[in-house]
Amino acid sequence: MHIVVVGLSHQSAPIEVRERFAFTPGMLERALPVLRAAPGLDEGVIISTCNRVEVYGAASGAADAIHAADDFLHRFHKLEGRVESEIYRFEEPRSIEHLFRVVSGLDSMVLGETEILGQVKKAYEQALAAKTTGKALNQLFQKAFQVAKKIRSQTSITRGSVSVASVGVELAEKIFGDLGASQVMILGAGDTSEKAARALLSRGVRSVIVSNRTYERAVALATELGGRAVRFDSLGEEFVGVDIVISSIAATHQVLTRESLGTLMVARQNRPLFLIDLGMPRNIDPAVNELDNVYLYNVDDLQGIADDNMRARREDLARCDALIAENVARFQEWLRRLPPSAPKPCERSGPAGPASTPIASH
Amino acid sequence: MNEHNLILMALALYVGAFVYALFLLEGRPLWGSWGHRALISAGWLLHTYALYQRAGVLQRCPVTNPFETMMFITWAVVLCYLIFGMTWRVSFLGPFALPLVIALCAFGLFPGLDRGRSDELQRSVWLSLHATLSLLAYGVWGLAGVTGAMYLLQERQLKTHRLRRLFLRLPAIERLDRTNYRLLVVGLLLLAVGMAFGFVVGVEFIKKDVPKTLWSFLVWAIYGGLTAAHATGRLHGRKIALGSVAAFLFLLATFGAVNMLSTAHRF
Repeated sequence: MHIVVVGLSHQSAPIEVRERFAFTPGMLERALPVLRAAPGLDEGVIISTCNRVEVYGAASGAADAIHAADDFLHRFHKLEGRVESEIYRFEEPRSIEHLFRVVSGLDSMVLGETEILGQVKKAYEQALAAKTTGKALNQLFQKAFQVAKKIRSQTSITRGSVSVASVGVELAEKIFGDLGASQVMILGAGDTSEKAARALLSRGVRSVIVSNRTYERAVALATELGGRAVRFDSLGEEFVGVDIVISSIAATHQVLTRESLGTLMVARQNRPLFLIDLGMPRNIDPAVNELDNVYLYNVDDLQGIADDNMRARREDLARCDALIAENVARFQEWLRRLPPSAPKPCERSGPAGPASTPIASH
Repeated sequence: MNEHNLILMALALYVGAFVYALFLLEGRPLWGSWGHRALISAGWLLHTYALYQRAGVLQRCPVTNPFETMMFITWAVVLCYLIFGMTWRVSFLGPFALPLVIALCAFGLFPGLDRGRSDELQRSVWLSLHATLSLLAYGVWGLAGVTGAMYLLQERQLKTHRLRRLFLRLPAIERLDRTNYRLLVVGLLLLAVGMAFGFVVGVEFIKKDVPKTLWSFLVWAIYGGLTAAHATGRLHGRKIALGSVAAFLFLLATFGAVNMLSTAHRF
């Protein structure tokens, strides 16, 4: 039995090409039975995400299986000309290694992202439900999920946030723990502050207060975020209740100084305060970081942490590769012992039978 | 098997749990955090059996000499970790509490410390209860000191913006602060009840042992002050964490000396 993969990803093809091969969830339902009927393929799984379209196949002949998967991709999407250079076609061991890398997030646009694991699991479950998988692909995908779990727990490849907004969220969680009781204040209706606020909202912060020099803009953003707008001159009163402040005001002077915040911290009973200064020039006096229970980060600090985390992920690539190589070898060993599956009814008819099953169109 | 050998075996398991925890911090666990908990629990069971065996001989809680006292305090620290780790979901304390447990256990095993017994403690049930609860309080505060140290480590990383590997493994500072406060309160209550049992023994007895009594009041006042400062919002986070560490270091540093000065109730 041989495992093959035919597909294209963000690394091999631009979006204009990828979108021509993409499968929507509805299309996938129709495509899986067609794939099952494709001659030369005994088993098949289709993975279609925004960054990749891949057909995994298992068959007794590798070359036939690659040809069948390639043919299926073109014919199902009714593509007239053949796409050659953007499509990769891998046999073992590269096909197995490729899947292991994909589920572990090593082939993703953002190295180490974990969303892909869920997407592949869903694609596999759909194939399982459509009965297009057999012993070989079932075992392959189960092994791939195990490898992904191992890589996640034994290396740093998924650790630490790698974007400014997610670093902000991670820091907030390391200060407050559960964000369910935290209140966020946004000063200035900037784009990055909005992104950071949305990221914090997605982690369940209790409420959002928006303040801007132009009150109407504050009201508009507050409505969008499901929060509350406050006037700029009543900020002091609100400060007592907030836990996280994201500031991006276009101001020539500092909005928060060490002296003013020192007084406010007493009123806050010294509860921790997380300040994110995205302003240029900076809105908050850097000296406030010297106050107890105040944590100040500017955009360079956040970007620096994101870069460090990415560097740490890259440094662990060699360990991931070693883990994958070990598991690929083990899987090949298992595959070698697997008896070939019985031919499909259409193939049993022999040389006189139909050369290919017509590919259904969508 | 005698108590020393049992404690040695428990110590070996604690060391094993600590080494395992280092792998855990590096993200390479063999059996996840369960392996770590299993090693600590096995060590604690041996530790408990050693104390039980000694209690059988004494017919009292075994806190009558420095060896027994050290074993009891370290037993209390591990017990607190096992109870609070599960009920407050703060199992992260384990790997950080182990160096303290290992160091105190190893110190307690020094030759010559398992000698001499307090006759008073052997005679009076109240005094035995007083000693047991007081030492339990010290164990709880030991864990509070560990929590404080963890807070200071995490807070330093957040302040300096230098996030090391440990950053992701350590919990949120507010969670550490809450845990620290709870441990301070539990310790305070235990010592208060322990001291109350001490008073039951009688004023005459206290008069005989002024340094130890004053020291106990001082310790209670230090921890009481820290707890009150946190409860009223005067101190929060870093200062409470520092206070917790400093108070426990003071307790450790002066406990031996005060015991030496004590005429009536050494333990």
